[in-house]
Amino acid sequence: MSSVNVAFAGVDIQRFLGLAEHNPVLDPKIGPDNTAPNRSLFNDANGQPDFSNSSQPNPNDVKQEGYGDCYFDASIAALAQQHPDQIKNMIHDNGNGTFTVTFPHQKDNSAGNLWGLFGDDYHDVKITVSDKDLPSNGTSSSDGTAKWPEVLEAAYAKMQGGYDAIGNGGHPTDAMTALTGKSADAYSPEDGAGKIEQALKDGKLVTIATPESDGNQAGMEAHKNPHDLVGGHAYTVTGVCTGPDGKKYLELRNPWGFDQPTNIPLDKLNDGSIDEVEIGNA
Amino acid sequence: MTIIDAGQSKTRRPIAGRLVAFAALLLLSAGTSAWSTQAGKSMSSSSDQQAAAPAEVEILRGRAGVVGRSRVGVSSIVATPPPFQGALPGARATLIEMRDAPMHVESTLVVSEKMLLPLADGLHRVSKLATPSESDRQGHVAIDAEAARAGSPNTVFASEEGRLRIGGPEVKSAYDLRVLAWTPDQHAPHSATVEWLTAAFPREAVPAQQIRQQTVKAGDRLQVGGATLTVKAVEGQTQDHPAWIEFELAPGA
Repeated sequence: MSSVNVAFAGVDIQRFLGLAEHNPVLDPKIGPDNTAPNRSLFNDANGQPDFSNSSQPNPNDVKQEGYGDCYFDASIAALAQQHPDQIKNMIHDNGNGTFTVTFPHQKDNSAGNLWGLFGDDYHDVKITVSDKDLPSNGTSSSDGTAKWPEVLEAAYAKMQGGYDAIGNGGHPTDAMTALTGKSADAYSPEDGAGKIEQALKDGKLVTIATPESDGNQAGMEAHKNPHDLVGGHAYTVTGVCTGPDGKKYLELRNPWGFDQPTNIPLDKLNDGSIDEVEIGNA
Repeated sequence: MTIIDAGQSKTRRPIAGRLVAFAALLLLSAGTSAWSTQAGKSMSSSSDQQAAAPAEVEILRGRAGVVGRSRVGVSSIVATPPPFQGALPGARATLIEMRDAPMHVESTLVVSEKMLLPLADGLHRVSKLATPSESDRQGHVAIDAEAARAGSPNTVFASEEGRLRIGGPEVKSAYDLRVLAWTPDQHAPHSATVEWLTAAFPREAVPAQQIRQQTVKAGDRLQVGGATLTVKAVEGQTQDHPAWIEFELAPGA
């Protein structure tokens, strides 16, 4: 049950019941560009629309906006980087302004499966969304980039019970599992640092999450992330490189599509700037 | 395990707690399909299409939005102590503005409520800064949709506590410029000392010969990351803005 999954993800009961205060920031609006003929599902290598469907999804197509679903956006960017074909296989363009997205191998916790009491049951879940389901403040909706991030976001929102259910925080491991149907794990920075490079080589999805910053307390410096990372945010790990000082550095991508972090020394991951490392199988 | 995004940090319930919640939710949601594909209540409606253009754009902390021809991200919003030793009172926010034309440029500014925010189409007023609270858990920034003072996408600013990033969006193709000092001070400067280096690596990892510094005044030019920056003005801190250097940006050396 999607609503049950939402509850397990930590969304409070008030929001589950639909009693949460109206939030105009979160109410989607249809943007003038959502049905624009110059937008394609995937863009070519130069970022231009490609209606032949021969282009690949690119992590740089992902540009988070009005919803608090950085955990999802960081995860789809990771999947686009590691396995772009998987995204192409997930999205079927029905040719009539609708798209059917397949979330593979999803665990069935429903009453029909007796809530998994006698073993887990798994299904592919198909969600159909139309251009009209894509909000103007959704991922990648603002500047005519490729549609695929918006389509995945809209389908994920439908599967989970709406944009309110996905747009107020979540966990990258849940998003990774929804996208791949495979397991994902979270590690402390200390434990995760040594796994990142090999995980990327193995084609796994890797993200990091930053600790929440508390804006209620006085003073800027007390809340300043050592590496200027946004608090309570998820980033895609795009690589590990060697710096001019010979040290290894983590390359990160902000799902906003800008404000990309300066590479972070791998041996500084436990300095408080990162809460955890998430690694998902794909 | 934390729930991540923009002001929300929750701890997952232990398994026993989950089972209790599970049973309660089953009672509340009986009859609902487990694999429902119903759109949530927040899906779009036709009336939304007829809404008038907003007077201001609200962006929650940790998220990004579009104002004019710029994208703006809200990195943090914090309360500041009462006025002390010249510090500005009230909340302050760290905002990152991005524009793609005439080239990729990002400007990070620390602003207070009612200050002006330089964007691609001019200076926009920050009408409200709301720090996170019980009723507004993430906090948000409201920015006037209309520019208070028209400007040009070729005009960029490097400000006190801020950063001007030239090039990108990937850090390996970008340079970060910061102001190190105002002469004689930030209230009435006639010149400023700036430093710029690759955005890819932290300062301590970059060879000294690849870190550039220069003291600039109006009319001076800098070559930074494949762009020419011409100093239009060096302005001190006012009620409207922090101390900043106004540059004319021209792609190419």
